[in-house]
Amino acid sequence: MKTCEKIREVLGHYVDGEGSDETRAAIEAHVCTCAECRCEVEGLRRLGDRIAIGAEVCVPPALWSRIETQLATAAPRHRFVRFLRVRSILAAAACLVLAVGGYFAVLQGLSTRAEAAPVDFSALLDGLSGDAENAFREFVERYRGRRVSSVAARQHASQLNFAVPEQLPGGFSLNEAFALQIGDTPAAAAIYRRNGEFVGTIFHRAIHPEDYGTYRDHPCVVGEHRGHRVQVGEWRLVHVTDATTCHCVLSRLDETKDLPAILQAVAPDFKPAADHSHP
Amino acid sequence: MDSRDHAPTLTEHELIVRCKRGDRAAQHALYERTSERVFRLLVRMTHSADTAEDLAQDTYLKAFSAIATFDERSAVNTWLYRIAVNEALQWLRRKTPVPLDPEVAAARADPRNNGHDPGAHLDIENALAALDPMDRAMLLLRYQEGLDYRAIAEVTEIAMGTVASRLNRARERLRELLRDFAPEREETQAEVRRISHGREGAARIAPPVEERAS
Repeated sequence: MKTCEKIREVLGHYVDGEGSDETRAAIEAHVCTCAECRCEVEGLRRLGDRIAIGAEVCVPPALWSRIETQLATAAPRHRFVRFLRVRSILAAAACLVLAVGGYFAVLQGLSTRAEAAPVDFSALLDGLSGDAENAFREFVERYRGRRVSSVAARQHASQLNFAVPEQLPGGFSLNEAFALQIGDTPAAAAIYRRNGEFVGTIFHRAIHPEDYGTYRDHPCVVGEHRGHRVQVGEWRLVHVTDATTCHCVLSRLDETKDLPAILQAVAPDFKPAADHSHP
Repeated sequence: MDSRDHAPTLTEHELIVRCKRGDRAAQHALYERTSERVFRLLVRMTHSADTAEDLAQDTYLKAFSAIATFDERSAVNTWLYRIAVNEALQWLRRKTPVPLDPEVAAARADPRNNGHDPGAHLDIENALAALDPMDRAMLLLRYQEGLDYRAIAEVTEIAMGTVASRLNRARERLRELLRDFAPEREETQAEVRRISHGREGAARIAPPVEERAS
């Protein structure tokens, strides 16, 4: 009887296929000679079977559509809210940059819709108050940037419309070019220098407002260059978008004097607008 | 490149890597592979298909937003189960208790039953619904989803050594709820009594009720 009591304590273990071989062998030896414990084993097995019965379900056909819709709209909003709690100004600006870029793309009459993976600029923007170039490199690394030639960067992101010239207006020379991967979409980046002064460029697929759905809730910052920008200290991340490509330039350059020429150099179809208004 | 065509054939690791990049096709493929299990678990945790659908949606949204933190030390199914169970437990804590079968509730309230479930119509679903939610989750993970104790420990974040005792307790509680009326229990109990009283050969396990009746 005492043996049965001890065995009963581990019969569930045994029925569930758990326990060491030695323990299982001992239980089996006992169960072979004990009708009550054998019945207990059968009872436990039947109980498990009864729990398993009724497990057939049909996943609602609309469930994925619901999830996909939320992924396209709600997820960036969640990210936005999280940014607001932690780093409100930077994050709002980051979302704004992306959102307005997409807005521009639509304004320019895109008829085809490309899927673009989210681009999270927070790491870059957060780092601008410290070492801006290091923050830029971390961003590049985050999106699996590898150093390549300017030609290779261009070929890597061949579906994008951008340029990586050896020289930028104002005397900046190309220092490094990178092939990036943002989601499944190739992207590119480059670093330029002028007497130690750093300028970074990033090119990625155009972002659509429906993918970032918060831009209408916030004031749109329109810079002098007729694109959109976020400013952190002396640094500005300027963002202009054409039909396929978002062109970002990180610099401390004057928006009215130096920047328009550089934007035109890296964004071939960029044309400063006479003015700009939002709906 | 459209990865949608290739996603269904990818390994789990490849899918996870792509999901971490925000690849929608990979997310869909992961959903296709796992949603039946997740939804099935949630249906039986909540006893509501509508609620299960809502919680399944939340489960996948949370999973995709947090997938960068998934280190693949456990199977992705286990990770999704953990999120789903947490969603279900939170929902159950927020809501009012699930009403049992009206007849059972009435019988339970009858003072002649001394507060116990007479179980006249208490089927397995009602018995499961009457369990502590974590016990219910553990039983479903074990017997419906077939997880071993280690995986159950990972899903429920209960110590591995505690899983066995918690399952024992859950099984006993479930059997209490089913006792004296559930056919399997009746059968087992009757047979145990019969064997104990020496009316049948000691080495023979009881045949099904129908067989005995013939």
